Amino acid sequence: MTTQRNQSVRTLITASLLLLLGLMLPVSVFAQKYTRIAVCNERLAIQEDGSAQVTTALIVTDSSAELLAYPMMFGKQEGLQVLPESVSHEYQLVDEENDRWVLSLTAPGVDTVTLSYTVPNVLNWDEAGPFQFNSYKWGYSFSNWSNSTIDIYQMDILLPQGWNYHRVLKSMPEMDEKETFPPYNFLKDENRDAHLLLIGEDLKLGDECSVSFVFKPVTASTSMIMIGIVLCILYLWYFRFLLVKAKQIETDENQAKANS
Amino acid sequence: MSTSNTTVAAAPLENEFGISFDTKLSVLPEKKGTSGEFRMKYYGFPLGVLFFLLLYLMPLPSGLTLEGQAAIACFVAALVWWITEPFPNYATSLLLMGMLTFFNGWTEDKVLGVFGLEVIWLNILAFILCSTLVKTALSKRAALWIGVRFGHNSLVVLLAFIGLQLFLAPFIPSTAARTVMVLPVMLVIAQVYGSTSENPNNFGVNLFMQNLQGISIFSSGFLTGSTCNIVAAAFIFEMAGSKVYYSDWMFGMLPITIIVMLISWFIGPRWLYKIPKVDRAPKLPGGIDYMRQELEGMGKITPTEIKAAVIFVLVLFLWATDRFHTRWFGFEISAVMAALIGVVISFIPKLGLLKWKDADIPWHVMIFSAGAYAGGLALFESGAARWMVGWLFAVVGLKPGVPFWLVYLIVIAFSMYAHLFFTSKTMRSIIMIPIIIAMAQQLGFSPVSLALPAAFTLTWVVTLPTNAKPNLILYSTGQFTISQNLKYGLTMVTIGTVVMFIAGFTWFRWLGITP
Repeated sequence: MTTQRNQSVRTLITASLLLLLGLMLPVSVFAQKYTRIAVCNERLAIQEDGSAQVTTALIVTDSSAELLAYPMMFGKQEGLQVLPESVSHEYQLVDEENDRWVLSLTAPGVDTVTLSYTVPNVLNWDEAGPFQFNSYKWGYSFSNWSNSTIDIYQMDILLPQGWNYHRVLKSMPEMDEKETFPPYNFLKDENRDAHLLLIGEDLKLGDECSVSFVFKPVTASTSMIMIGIVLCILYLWYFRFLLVKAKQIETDENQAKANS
Repeated sequence: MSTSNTTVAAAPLENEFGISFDTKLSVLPEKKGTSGEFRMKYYGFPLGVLFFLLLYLMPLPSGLTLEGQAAIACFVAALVWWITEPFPNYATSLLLMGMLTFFNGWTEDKVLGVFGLEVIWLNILAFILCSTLVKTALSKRAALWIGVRFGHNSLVVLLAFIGLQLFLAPFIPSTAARTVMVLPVMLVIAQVYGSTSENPNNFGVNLFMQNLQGISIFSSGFLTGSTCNIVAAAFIFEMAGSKVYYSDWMFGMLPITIIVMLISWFIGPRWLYKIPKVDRAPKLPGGIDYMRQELEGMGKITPTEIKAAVIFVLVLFLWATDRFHTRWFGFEISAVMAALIGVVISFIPKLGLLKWKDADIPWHVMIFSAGAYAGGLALFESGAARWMVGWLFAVVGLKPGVPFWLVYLIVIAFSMYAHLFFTSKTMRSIIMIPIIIAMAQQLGFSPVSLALPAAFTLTWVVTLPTNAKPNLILYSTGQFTISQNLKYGLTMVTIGTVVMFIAGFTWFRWLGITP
């Protein structure tokens, strides 16, 4: 009786252990398929015609997955051109529903992935402006719909030649009033392009990094210089009595000194 | 009833010697200018235009937006015009607000919204409270008492006011409150020594400038002397991990503030704005005896004066105890709300003391300050202020290996003079202190050795009327001009820099702040 009971307990324990092992196995397999994007640099060079040259550079660490899904900027557009020579990895657009690149990785370990392609109609000039004082509004938003966490996300937006940033309207991450530095910075390189570099950290699934801004054409206004000169001349002519008064006071003071 | 008391009490001095205990700050005095002032007016306008065009049209530097560039250009032009005064200062402020909007340096709604800022309201309410003291003749009584007690010599009076500011600084964190408390008394004392808004003399310049400096500089002697000190200490704790205690701050800075104010007291009436020996005694015939007779003639303190004193003490109590409000009431009564309570009581019929016609509000000063704040805030919000700080440190080219004394001198000089461009002390604290801490860490120095001395100088806003609320309030009296403020202020800031530099290698080293 006791032997039978012992046997059934042993069977129960063995079955439980097997069940547990059966459950753990797929979990451990899936856990291995983990990818972390350490750095993601996205560069968006907007052209005068509204198209944009997009470059995405990803540094993947702790990679054990063979495939990396990464959101396509601006989705799948008609006329989207991918420059084959600049794509360092095989890619296939399998996730059309979610507009994601699906890239094969050299698993495991560190990997670098670069994507470069042109997107037409990124900036619709008619929608962007012009508004007050010949300004234009535009913005870009990135949501992390990849299958990885992004440690550092940098978005570099270059305006067309001859344009410059006027002000940032809104950004995500937001800048708190008590903070010293905003999450964005304005840069320039030698060929005078205006950059806006937005930095987001630790972007988990669905997290957003976005910026909306106002930009304006750079104009060296000679008319403003002319107006300034005319105003100065008018002022100096109309208020010339100030100099007369100054001289009068000096004469009076000198006379008073001489008399005393 | 109160009106009749006041009129009777003030009459003899007013009638016989033209001294008014009811100076109207809202009425702009007509002033005679010097030949130098007329020349500055003449060349000031084109100079401002030139600065504006140069800054607005220069190629946009890296790190700056077009908005920031426009804000810098507009603010610098206005600064030139405030100093040279081709237009009245309030007109320059209005022009600045228009320029900021038109040249896209800041948005119109934000520019116009400045008039609703706490600082403007506090100024308005402070002037109404000040009117209460003037109307009830309480200020006259206090002025006569100070005159009788210390008024034998103008230098002693000046020293007495410095002592008064030192006494008030730890109790009343609000610099505007301290100004309002002392202003009516200062106005009367200035008149006793022959300085009026129409004909200000060097005693008036010294009295008002030294109080302006005392209010700001003594605030740096105490951790709780200003919000910016607390913000700076918080940054030093958060970023550098060093806790700055109240006593650390006080032992470090209070002796320096006293030394600098004594220097100001010594050099002001002797060299900068020399008070001739004949002007060092009260201008009133009979001098101190006459003032004593006047004081005795006022009789015992009247019920209206007691009412005014009670209202004023109530407001001062609320100002001085702000840190305990939450514990006592469950909420904090801000400085503006405390002043508002006092003003409301003053206006209540029968119970109160004032009618609207008695409220002496210098609206031109409010517009002047609104313009100045709009300019300062535009610099801050557009990122231009942050960019300027970073740019200046980059231009100086501080790199690892630079000797500490050089870095220390640059940091102190920069934090001392930065108030010329950045109007808000708290904003300067927020912008500068973290940058200095980061820079110190980069250069391999202890962050406290640079950040704490720099934090000590944040409240030294003594160069222009636009630098701080007390400056504006005192400037509204017409007792000194912007150029006088600039000359005296720059002298004291330079002396302060030298004293801080010496302290860096002596006092601060002994205290363990600097290496």
